Amino acid sequence: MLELLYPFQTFRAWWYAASLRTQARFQRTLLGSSWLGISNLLSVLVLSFVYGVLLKVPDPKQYFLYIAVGLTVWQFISMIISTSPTLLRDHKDKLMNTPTHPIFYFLEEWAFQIQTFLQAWGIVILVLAIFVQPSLLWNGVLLAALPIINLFLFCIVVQIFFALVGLLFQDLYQVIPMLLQLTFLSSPVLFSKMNLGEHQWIANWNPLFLILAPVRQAAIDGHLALGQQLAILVGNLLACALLVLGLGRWRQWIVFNL
Amino acid sequence: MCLAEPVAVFQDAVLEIPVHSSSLRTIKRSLLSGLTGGQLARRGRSLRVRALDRLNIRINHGDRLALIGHNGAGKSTFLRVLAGILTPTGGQWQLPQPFTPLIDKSFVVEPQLSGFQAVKAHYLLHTSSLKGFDAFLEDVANFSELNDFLHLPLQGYSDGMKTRLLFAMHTYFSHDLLALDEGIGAGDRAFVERAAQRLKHFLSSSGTLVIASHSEPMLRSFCSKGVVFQKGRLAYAGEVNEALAYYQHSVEEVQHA
Repeated sequence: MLELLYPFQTFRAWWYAASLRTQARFQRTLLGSSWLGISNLLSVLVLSFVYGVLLKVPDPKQYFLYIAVGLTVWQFISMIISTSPTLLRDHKDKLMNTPTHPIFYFLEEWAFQIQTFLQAWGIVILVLAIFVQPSLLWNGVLLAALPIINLFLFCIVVQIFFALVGLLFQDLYQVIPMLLQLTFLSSPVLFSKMNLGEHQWIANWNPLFLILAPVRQAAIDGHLALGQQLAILVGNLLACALLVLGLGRWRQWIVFNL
Repeated sequence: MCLAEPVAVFQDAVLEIPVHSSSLRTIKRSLLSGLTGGQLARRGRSLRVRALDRLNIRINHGDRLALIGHNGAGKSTFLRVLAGILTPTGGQWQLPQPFTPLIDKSFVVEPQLSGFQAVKAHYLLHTSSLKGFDAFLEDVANFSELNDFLHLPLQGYSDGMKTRLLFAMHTYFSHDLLALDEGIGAGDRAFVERAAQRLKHFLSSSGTLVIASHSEPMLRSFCSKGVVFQKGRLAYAGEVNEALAYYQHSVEEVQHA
């Protein structure tokens, strides 16, 4: 059971390794990692303008808000899932030659994506609070904190799941982008759930949308289903604990299947 | 820990490693096998390689053991077992505390980052805190003679600079149980003598030492016992000089055959 403390004991190491990756990525740029937030804001601006015109939305500012929050969260989910299938194979040498717990490599990638997300989220919230909805600053930072923590925990569970399945099916990394694209198009990220009409069950059964929606509701509408979120938190923590224990026990299987 | 106390005991230990063909492990293949009643899947069953075969060995605290053998004989696999990275799939074994492996001797960070960041990441990975980091940094900077160069990106380092930095980092910590693969490079000639001194101190400070290497001088210098691996089996165990002579003899026999 002491294994469960490992992620906390090694926090500084995996968080630092992740931040070094961000630094390496933006080593040659003047604005450094601020590009993460700026590029996200630019893509949100373009998409909300194009789709706002196409869908003839009555309130472009609110639509911009809706898309900005939804897309920022979606990009985090999408990046976590798309890097998962090859994550263990990318660390093959380290897994085969060092006794480091496999969860370390998941935590490093997860921290890298969290750092990317937080920079994008921070800029989006700040810009939208200034120009569209001032309450977003409060909602997006405090009220959305619990749904965001659940989003993070859910994503590491999904990441580990796809990484293990990726060892069994070596072409999974080719299938994932297609599945993500289909899920994105069928998820109410660019459009409202109401637009699905009698097909709203598509959104109701979509786990990625179910983890995205509470963040958006808390940030934009100021609505937080506290009981539900606490129950999800307990479920997520339990799943994380089981996976940390499981990864330690499956280490040999992982090494054999790299 | 008492000197005669065993730190690792293996009795008829076996390690079988499955060998998978990546072309057989795809979603497409699984779908096809589902549609064809599993016949394709049966054809694709994996092979198993016996990497360690009925291994009987006891390592006591304080032993300095040389692992000798051809590439692929099982030396590195045995080091991985000692480090707890792999576990035998058969037989009996006791490994109360895993050895610290020095098998992977690469940088933790990407080459665009500086030597300082590489040193800090290495330290954090080993200690999970920055307590004592300043002393570590000073020692590594002085010993590797990189000093201010530590703030430059690794990708600008010469091979000698990289080797010196890796050597300085890896030989800083002392380990009670150490499993070392193929020594640690020492860089340019001017550095070799100082490196030899430090390596001697580093290896002497470990309570129990297991080295897999093809370097006879190194094995003779640091080891008192030797075991010869052949195709995953223990072909010989004894004094290091006798083990090396046995290995040399077996190599000559193969060459004459």
